[in-house]
Amino acid sequence: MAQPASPLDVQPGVLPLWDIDAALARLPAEQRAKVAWAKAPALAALDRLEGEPLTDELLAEVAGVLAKPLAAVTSALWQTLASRDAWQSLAESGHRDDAALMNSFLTSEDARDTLAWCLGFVRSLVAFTSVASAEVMAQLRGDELTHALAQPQNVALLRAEAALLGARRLAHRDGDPERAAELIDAAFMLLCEVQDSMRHDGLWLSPFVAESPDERAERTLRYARQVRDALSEDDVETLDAARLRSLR
Amino acid sequence: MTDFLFDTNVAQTLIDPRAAKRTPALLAEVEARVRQQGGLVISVVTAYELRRGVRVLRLRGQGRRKEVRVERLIRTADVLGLDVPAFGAWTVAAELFAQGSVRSPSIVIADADLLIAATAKHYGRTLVTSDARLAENLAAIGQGPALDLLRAT
Repeated sequence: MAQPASPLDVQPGVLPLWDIDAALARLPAEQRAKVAWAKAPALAALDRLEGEPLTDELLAEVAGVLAKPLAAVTSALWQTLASRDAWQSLAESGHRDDAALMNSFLTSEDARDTLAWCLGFVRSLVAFTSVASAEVMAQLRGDELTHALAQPQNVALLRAEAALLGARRLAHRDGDPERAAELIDAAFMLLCEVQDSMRHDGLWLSPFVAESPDERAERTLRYARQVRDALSEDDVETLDAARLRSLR
Repeated sequence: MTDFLFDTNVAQTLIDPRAAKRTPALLAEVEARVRQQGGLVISVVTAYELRRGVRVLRLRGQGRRKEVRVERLIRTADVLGLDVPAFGAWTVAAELFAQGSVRSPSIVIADADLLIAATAKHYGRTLVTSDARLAENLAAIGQGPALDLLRAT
């Protein structure tokens, strides 16, 4: 079976994480009226992530529902943006708002660290794939964007974004921080698939592009301590038993 | 920064909840080298060993959180492979194996240790290990990587 291509093959398939209310509020009244329908199905889908058992199937269903509303709002935003830089600024603003909201909501250092990885990776991906000009992007229709999001190489990314938006909505509604942490964990594993898919194509994106060696070392040691805090002595024995003894 | 490669037993010390109580000096030494290196550098063999252990935990119903924490740590490390360029580390491993085999008595190094040591040598890195026997065996064949043996006490 052929390996899936990277998300870069369908460049418009990489979307920033939109707070749909905030995105709609940025649109002029006429455009906002055209895509106002997007809000209800998007929020209904995200609400499912709050209460239903968190399974791969649920994330797939929610991501499937989210694709069309997200694409419609994104397409409408492109009609109003004058430049690629304006897009980048908007994406960065959303990224910072998301990080601030969720960091103040999450109760564990561990969850905040996983969130930082996820948001950092999405931020790098959005920046790396933001190469088409504003004029080109403005010509993309919502249905074309929806089609791009549905391509196999974007499946894991869209599901990860659904999980992160679900966590964001929980933060916005002051819901259960532990459930948000579960969603962020799920997003992390899906984004690892995206990172591996890109690596298969010879590309590597870091979630921490501006990190110094000292900062990286401290992050490594913090992650290691978090593993120590999570593992029991029985778990360590399981890890020991899984050591590679012989290739025969 | 120094060019280290951390053996699996050293990486496991970093994540062992018993380490802070049982071998605090060793844990401190490992942490000092991670700082010196500017991060963690491991062989793909170590990544494989950690992943297969944590997958067992996941399939035993331990939940996703432990897997996420270990995977996050692995993805923060530089993971050095055996294949690039031209399967070079495998060739070094074959040489180390042969050097041990022709000794009398022969020196047998476990496959995982052999491959990790070969990776360190192939990339010109100092192997950081707490396995005294491995260090002794590698020293005996005289073809191993540069060694940094950390003591548990």
